[in-house]
Amino acid sequence: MILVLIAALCVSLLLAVTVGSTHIPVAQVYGVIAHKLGLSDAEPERAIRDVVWLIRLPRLVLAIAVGAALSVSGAVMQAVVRNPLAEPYALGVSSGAYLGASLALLMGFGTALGGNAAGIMAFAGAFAVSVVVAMIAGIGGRANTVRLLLAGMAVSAVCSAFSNFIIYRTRSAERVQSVTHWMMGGLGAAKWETNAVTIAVVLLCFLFFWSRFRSLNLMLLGDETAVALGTDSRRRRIVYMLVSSLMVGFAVFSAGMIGFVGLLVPHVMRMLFGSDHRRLLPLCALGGAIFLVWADVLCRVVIPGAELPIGILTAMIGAPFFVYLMASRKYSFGGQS
Amino acid sequence: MEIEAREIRVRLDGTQILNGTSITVGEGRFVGLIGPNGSGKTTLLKCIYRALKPSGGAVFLDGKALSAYSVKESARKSGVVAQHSDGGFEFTVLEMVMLGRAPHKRALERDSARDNEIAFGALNAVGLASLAAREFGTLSGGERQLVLLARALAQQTPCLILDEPTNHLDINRQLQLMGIVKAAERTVVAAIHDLNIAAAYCDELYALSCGSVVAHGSPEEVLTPEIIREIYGVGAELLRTGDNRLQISFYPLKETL
Repeated sequence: MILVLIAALCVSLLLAVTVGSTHIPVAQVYGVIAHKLGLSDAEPERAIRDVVWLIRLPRLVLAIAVGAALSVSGAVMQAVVRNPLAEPYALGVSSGAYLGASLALLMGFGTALGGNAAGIMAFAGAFAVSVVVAMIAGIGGRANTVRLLLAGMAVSAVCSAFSNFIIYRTRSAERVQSVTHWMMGGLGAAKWETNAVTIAVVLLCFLFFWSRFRSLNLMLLGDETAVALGTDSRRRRIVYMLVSSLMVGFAVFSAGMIGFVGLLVPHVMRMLFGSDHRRLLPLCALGGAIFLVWADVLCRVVIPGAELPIGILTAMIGAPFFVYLMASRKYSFGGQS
Repeated sequence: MEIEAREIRVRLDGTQILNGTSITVGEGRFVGLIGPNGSGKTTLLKCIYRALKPSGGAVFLDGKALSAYSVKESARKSGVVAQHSDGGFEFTVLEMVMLGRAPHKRALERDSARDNEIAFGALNAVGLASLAAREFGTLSGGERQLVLLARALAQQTPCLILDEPTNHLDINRQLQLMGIVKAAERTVVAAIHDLNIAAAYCDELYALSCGSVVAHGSPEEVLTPEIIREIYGVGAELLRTGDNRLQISFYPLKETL
């Protein structure tokens, strides 16, 4: 199954790269790629080369990295807090990112950080909030799932309140809109240099989680069963949450907030292929990547001449599909069937 | 393996659950804990399998304090069948049993052919090998309990800890499960509600009441009408079946009527 999905991802990539607002013949698109990979000597036209190599491909590669990051993180978070509603942005990550982005875009914080100040501040916000949530939940040494969720909610509320306060105090409607827009997510800012960092982080975090598939399986069974089978969930929970936030933070940094992928893909994969994380994590990574590649293609073509924020689209097509799957199969995320 | 729980004290939310309870389980013994609801049986077992840290006292496995073992090491000492089977419904039966091999594995180690063999051996022992590919969540309550026993067997520990393992099982499954445990020839500590089952399978019994041991000895010594009356508040009549097995029948006491 994993091989099938890898093949599907390659095909998706090759098809998606031919779609865009500028019409370029398919042969020329592949000509550019072949040339860049050293497979062909024919020099492509400069404008076409730039569109394919500097705009379309980095964007698709980023879609793959972000899709994989969000899905893997979703699967991990669901196991860590043993709650089917958990997703990458739960536990305060989203509101932390929101606050970071608001500070940058509305109050000019971190302008020294360069062009993507909003992304960097959002990353900082997301990660800082995760650390705070982990610390609050860990007070007294009992970081169980309920404490973690409650701490996440409390910290989220505080961050949202501050973001809303900043927005309320901002007189410029245009700048407020820029925050809203940013939060809806988009892959347009993809560049090879930042992609390289994001991909490296996502890959390392994925390997970290994949190598701990047994612990994740055991965490799904609950703390008491896990300890009887040799895994102390309490300590691991915090570590896994922080690694997940790191990965999601990078996704937020490069693409804003893209909702629903991290909830939808892990559930679909679990419904279809079961809970064993050794299989589930690579399936999620591939499934999330394919999903986001196609979502991005749709974003670029659905409104001619404009681009729909990808976060809107993932929720629009993801949610009904999810409901359909839930209704048509017996699936209960480990309980109360 | 030998287990000693020495002077265990547990306080949960201001209520003293165990007040200095001590039990000793000798190598190869089948030891039962009996007592009414809330007498501390489950709490004591949780202290032994590390789901709970006692506020006083200590547990020793083979003479060494439990806290001196890593979680993984202690999971290689004792396997647990408890009542919280509330997760992992999307695992297949085989995957569930395979998790019993987890304490024997290093982080990156794959499951080997030998692990597979052990898991299937355990499934055979509980008679459910034919269900290996089924989803755990689709099994009946009795089958689930047997799968959890198979998981503990696959752990290949010298000791088994059972918390009311026959709860919610029909009579046939109850005897089947206890028979499998007995045949596994491990050191066993089990909290048992059904006194007839306790009498039939245990070598030794501890009777708990309000967090203290009130009686200890062979089933014949512990299961007397006086002790049963004292801890459960019911009348009891002891019968001997034709093949000399102890049978207890209960009746309400006058004053509780």
